[in-house]
Amino acid sequence: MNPQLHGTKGLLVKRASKLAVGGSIPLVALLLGISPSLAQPITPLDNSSLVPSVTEPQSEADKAVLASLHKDLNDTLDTSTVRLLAEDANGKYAVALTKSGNEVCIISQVKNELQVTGTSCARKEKFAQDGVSIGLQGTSLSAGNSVTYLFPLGVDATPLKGQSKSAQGQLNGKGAAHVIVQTATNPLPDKAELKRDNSSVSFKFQKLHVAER
Amino acid sequence: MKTETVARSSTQTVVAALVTAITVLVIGYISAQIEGATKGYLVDLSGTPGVAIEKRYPFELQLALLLIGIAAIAAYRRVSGSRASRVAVVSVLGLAVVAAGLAFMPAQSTIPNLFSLSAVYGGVSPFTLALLAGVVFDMVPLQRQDPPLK
Repeated sequence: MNPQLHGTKGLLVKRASKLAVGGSIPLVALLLGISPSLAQPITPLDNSSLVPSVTEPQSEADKAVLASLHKDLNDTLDTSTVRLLAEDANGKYAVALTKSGNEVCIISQVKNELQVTGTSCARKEKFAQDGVSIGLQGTSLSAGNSVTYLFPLGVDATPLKGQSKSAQGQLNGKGAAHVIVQTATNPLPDKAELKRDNSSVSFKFQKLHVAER
Repeated sequence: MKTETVARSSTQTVVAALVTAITVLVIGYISAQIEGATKGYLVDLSGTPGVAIEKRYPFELQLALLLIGIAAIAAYRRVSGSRASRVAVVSVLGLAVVAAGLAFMPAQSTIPNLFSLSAVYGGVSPFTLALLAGVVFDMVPLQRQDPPLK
């Protein structure tokens, strides 16, 4: 091979390598920099933006819910974050964070002699997207099978509450706006798009089906 | 003269190892952000999800990975003349893969910071494994037999 040609080729390869290394780094930095701005934000994932009630002081009503929980739950839940959100004739509906602080849990407690309690948790990022729900079914439930939904702060659940004013009208408490209870007398649509206060991204509600007894 | 060559060679080896480690961390950071974007969140500086976003496919991060691949291969070609540098690159990549594989499950629940997150995601990334495979293959000596000149 012509040594001069080989030298020229080698120089070209060297220059191409330099260009690949030197050019890629600023481009990568640029792409990493613009990436967050291409996303449509929904909400920060801090407690006060998702479930502000857990940052408020614990009331006597909150402590009553905590006292009635099975001791096994104390291993999972951060007991200082248990807050009663709403209640109706059938049950109490509370929220808590897990000990890691990464998950939001809904606690649904049936008002009967057995005090059946169900909990379900979702990671904060999942909770911000879809909320969290818990379904209870069994012959001991006075209201029949029920599903309780907890929505993050900022989701306007009014369209769902409007589906059955009689049942939802009985739901009282400081967090009642974020809780929906689905029972046989309060059916909900299979799907619904709900508005969010500080985001153009809608909340996609999907009904949880529980088997009829 | 000889001492100078040895010193330059060992500096090149250290730089190769350092650049490899940084490459793994950047791959890990990008992989974590890609996972976050497709699941609907952005990872913040603490290494945990900080903001919920609408789920999307981050094509720009895929492009960034492609550019890193090009830069990594180009950089490797420049140092691959030295056996010590090649060994350093393979060792750092191998160590990153093994360490991340061992730490992946425990780290899922307790990611302490962005550095650890990037190290773990970088080590388990198929992209890093592909780079390791390429570099390992490059270390196998190939015997070429050029056809005789006519």
